[in-house]
Amino acid sequence: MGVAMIVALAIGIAFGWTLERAGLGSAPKLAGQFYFTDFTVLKVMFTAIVVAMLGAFWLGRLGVLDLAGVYVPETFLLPQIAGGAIFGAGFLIAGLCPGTSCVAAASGRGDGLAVMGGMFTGVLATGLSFAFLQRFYESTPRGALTIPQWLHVPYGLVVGAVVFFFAIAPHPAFGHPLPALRGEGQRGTPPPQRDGAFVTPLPARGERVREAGVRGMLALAAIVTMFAGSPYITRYVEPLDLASWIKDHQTIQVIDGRSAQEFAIAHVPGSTNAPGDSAIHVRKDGRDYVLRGGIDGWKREVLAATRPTPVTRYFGGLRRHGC
Amino acid sequence: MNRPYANPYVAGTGLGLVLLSAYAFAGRGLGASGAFASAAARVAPANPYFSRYHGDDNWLVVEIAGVIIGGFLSALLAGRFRRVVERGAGITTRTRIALAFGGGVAMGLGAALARGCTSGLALTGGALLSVGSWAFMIVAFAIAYLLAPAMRWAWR
Repeated sequence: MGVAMIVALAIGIAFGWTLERAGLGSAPKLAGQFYFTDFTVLKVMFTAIVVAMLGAFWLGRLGVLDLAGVYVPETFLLPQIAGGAIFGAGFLIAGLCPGTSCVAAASGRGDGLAVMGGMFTGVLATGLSFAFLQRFYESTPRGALTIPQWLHVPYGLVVGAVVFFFAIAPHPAFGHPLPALRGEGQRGTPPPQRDGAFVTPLPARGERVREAGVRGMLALAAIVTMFAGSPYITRYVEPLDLASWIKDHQTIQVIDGRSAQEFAIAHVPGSTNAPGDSAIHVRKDGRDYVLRGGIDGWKREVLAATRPTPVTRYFGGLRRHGC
Repeated sequence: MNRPYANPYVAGTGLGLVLLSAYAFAGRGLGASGAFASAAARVAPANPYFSRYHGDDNWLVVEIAGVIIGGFLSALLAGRFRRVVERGAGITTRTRIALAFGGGVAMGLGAALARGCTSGLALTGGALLSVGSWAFMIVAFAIAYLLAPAMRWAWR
């Protein structure tokens, strides 16, 4: 068992443990979010996003973590919107999501096991009918597009804005998990009073001071982050951007650091081979970039994006090399 | 024996730190639906979809095995391990199992189309500001809230 697998197991254990501690291994608790009786899911999820987002930004900004080396889920806009709609309906019907269904099953819940069986069946069925879905599945590719790239604003500004919103937004029953919609053992009892974002019992003074303190510190961190710039150490160029640079005949220099054999199989047109590392380096306007995803990212994204349109001579050049 | 659940903000901070550790030590985030895809790829004939999950991608399967171990230990130690089917009082166990399975099938289809679920796409990509992740998350929750009144009977 390699180090990567030990890391995977350790992270998985911590993930499952945390979800269970929060109560997210129990379907009535998750379902409660849709009926405004229990906001645990949204609280846990958005707190986690804020913590990880701030942490990733500042670790990158301070040079501890090369954020450009972290895999960003790729955007395929239409399939993700359609998939999100189907997923949302399934989440509502099942009362559990894929990760929490594993925790529910692990804590003895038979409904969790049924969700896992359904998930497996659904993924298998989708995979088996992939011939019909492939065109849609690969449509509207945007690469590893982030919100700051999309809006053309600094990375820190987006992180700060999200954190600031989280800090000032009204949170129903701050710090007090509401009771589950209907846990087992309380079957037949009416659901707790509709609380939601509307009526929140006034907490004790100490609680209120603590809440104001946490909110104030978060808001301050958010404002500092807004003006902190970019967290990237390595500057990356997205495959589609590189393709457009080449197409626009911009003066760029592409140096392929991979071995001569790999270079012979496939390379970016116009690039020169200088074996040294495994990255593909791009120099443009005196700035150095690394091609995100390497040659695999280039092939997948550039070819996917250009499939419906006629192949230009650059892509033709790439094809000749066996892509 | 039935210990109360953790404060959601404390649990959320813990989850955020787990996610941050995954970025730092594995160069990727968390995931769940990908493990199901990897499992499906083992039994299905090879095709362009399943081939993405062949080969060295045991990471998600091992991680999900960890999730099950962690969830089990936490439930056991908190006195919450119980072999039951959780359901609303107005429906039978059989109906609840059918809903759970059917919802699972829909989530499987949705996650496969979207290339991820609440863990691998929404949480992981959300904190990395991925456009597709936020689009998925917003649409998924919007649809669930929109359709929620139609499913109220299952939890009465």
